[in-house]
Amino acid sequence: MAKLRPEWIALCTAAIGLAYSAGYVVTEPRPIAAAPASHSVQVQSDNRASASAGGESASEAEEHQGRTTQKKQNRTTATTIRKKSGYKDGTYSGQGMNRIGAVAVSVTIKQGKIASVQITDCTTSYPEIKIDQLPAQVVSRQNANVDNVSGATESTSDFVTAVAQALTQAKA
Amino acid sequence: MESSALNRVPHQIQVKRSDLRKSKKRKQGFSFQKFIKSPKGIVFVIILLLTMIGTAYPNNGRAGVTNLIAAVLTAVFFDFIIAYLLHRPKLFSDGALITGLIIGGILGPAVPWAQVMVTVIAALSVKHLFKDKRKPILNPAAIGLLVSSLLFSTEESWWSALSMLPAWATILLIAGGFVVVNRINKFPLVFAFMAAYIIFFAAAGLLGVTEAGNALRMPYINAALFLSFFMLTDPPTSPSRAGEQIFFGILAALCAGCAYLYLSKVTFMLIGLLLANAWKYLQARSRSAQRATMGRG
Repeated sequence: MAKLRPEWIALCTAAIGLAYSAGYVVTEPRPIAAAPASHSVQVQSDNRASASAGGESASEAEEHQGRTTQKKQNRTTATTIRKKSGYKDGTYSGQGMNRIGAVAVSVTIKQGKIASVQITDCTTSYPEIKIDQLPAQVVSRQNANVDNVSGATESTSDFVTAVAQALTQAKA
Repeated sequence: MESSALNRVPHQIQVKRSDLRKSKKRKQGFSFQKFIKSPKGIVFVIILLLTMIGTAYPNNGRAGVTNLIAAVLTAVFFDFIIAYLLHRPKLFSDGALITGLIIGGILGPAVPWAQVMVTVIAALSVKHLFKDKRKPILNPAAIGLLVSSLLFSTEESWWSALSMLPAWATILLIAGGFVVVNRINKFPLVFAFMAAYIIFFAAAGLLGVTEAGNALRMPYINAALFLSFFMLTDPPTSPSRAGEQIFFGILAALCAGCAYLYLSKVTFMLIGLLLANAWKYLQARSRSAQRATMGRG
């Protein structure tokens, strides 16, 4: 087969580049509309900030560096009591999102302590079962500092971001 | 005189045999200069350069390099054993070297090195077991990664595709890929694959399919580029005619797209590639059957 001429290569490259740009724009994720009764904030920040907010270790903060995290603040229920731990009682939700999907969690604070953590949504490439053990770690350690799951690093970091975000709300 | 002439003949034969032995030895020996100029050598150099750049991502660090070395050594050693057992003249396999390099650069740095080794062994076992006229039917790296994903749910980060680095690094991937594709004359295949891939996911996004847009963003788009430049174009497992290259590329992209939507967001591109490989094999078989029929007629 004869080699493709350079002008054809350039033309095809340009056409594919244009198609890609168009595809990128039309598939741009739309911002999620906030629920009417909720206090909704969308923040774009590097994970260093979110990590420090959630009390993560420096190495985890390093791991998250450079990744864009979209944060949602939803449904903060029934809270008035501020305990020694600094968490207000109630149920808080958070979401960690990166290039491969998102993990949403619901964190319940009772008597100023993390009583339970639930994964409410997981849309990462890997199944939720991979990070099923993480909520128990948050409850036992009382912070977002969980072990990295080998083979699901991105899902783990999404989970950590989500818990950190919920705990930030609980502290506010 | 006659007897002396007769004595000379065996001597000449002896000389010729020794020459033959020497030349055979020369053929058996591995020439790095020859390798580096060959298409496989160019692929090796380009992937190695990309891998070195990929280590710039802080998470890759030592673990990524350890996995890469484990993959390459396992691949070369495994093929060495196979060649030795089958009494092949060439004991060093450059193909295995590239397979190891690709697998090591696709699997995430957090994957245990033992799983990396199993992935490489699975890849090369399938290469040796399923052959069509001494050529592998399926892309070895792709089948190894698929098997590994099914067995261990191994993480694929495609860090050799610079998927973990800033977007501008993709230019380096495209430049390196173009050098390889130009050398092996597979531009129609690459262009057909990329065009079909982009159109498929853009259309899916327009139709409201959630997460379709992710396939057009990093790290997926880097993985698609890497796959098209270095895996789809693998000469033994891809067609050489322009028309067939275009069909092969479109088929791989459409199968990958469907696999993304309905099967797996991790292995969808590998599934697309392997299905296209299977089509190429069936195409080659039907062509040789036709030739045989015409020959008899």
